[in-house]
Amino acid sequence: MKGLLVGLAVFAVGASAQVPSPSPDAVLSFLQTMAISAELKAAFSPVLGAGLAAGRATPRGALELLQRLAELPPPQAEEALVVFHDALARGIIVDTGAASSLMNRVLMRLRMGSPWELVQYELRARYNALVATEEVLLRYGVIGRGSQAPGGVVLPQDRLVLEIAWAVADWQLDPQLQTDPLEVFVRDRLVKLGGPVLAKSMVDSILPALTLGLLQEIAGRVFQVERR
Amino acid sequence: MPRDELERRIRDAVTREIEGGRPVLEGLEGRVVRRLARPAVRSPWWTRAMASLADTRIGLGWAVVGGVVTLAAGIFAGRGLFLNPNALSAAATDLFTVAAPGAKAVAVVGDFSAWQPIALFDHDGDGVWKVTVALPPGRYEYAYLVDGRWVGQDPLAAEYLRTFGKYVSVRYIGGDGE
Repeated sequence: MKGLLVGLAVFAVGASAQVPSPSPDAVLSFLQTMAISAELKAAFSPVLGAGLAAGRATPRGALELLQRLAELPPPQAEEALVVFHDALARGIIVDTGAASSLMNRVLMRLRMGSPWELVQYELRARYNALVATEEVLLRYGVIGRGSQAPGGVVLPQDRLVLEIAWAVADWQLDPQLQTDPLEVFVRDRLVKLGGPVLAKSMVDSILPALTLGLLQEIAGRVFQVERR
Repeated sequence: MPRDELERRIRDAVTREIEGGRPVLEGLEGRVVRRLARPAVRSPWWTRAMASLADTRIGLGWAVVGGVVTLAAGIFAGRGLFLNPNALSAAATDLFTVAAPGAKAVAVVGDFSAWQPIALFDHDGDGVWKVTVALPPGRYEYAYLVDGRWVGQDPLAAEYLRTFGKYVSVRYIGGDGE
């Protein structure tokens, strides 16, 4: 009888055990173990730490990404980490735990078994779209200037920039989606996200501003060679 | 005829045979025979079950193995209930199901799991594999891995995307895209 009770207790302990989410310190510690240059570690570590603290990346997604990148040749890992450094340094959200996320996109491509050139190509294209969206929306007066820093407070407009950039890049990268005009596709995406992901009032107010000219300006920069 | 009734009749017959016509048995042998001839007192089944559990004796090694297996089973069951540690506060759960008759292993990979496989199960062996995942509101891209093969077009998806030759499925959780 005692054995049965002990067995049930052990089973219950196991069933209630969760996979713990890693701490930001664990992510940063793992970064230090990677076979990449000391300069990149020194530059990326504070940016990533600030991004994790502000919510621009999640510890789970970041650790998963670093672990996968650590399995690649160091030059490839460095190539990717430079993009994440630049994105976070500009205050861009790189990991949401959902679809619109640079980190998840790299993890998806690696899971697919895509060649590295393709992974890097898409990562650059998505980064270009994010930078272009922020700059174009700012110039058109659709959004105000955000924190532009990894540790600044994440604003609702940061998520808006992310979702518009993601939709434009999806349209650019998938020729099948181009049966719909660009502005129709982007508006439809934003309407679907209205509610839990983006405030409906924000979506309603932004839709009239998303002209074809504005979106084409963003789309035109997705495949541009980055000027660094 | 009920088993208890049959046992009672047999005991009665044995008793009659011992007590009538046979020489009286003395000493230990006699006491044993008379005890055997008396109706046995049967304890209830639950008492017998408890006694058998209490009497079970296993070695230390087997006890450790059993404990580890039980703990692992518990963790496995727990992961089935809480598949996405990032989404424990989520209000919604979503069912991922795919028909894959004859498959040996089926998993779903997606943004919600940082593209790490979450196993699907076919408990009733009908070839339809299922798992329920807790998901916060959002837009999720995902695909199935059927025996390691990428299956990117889920008939239950809201949309498909195709980039560089491979499909992924899309679901919206919450909001107008649901």
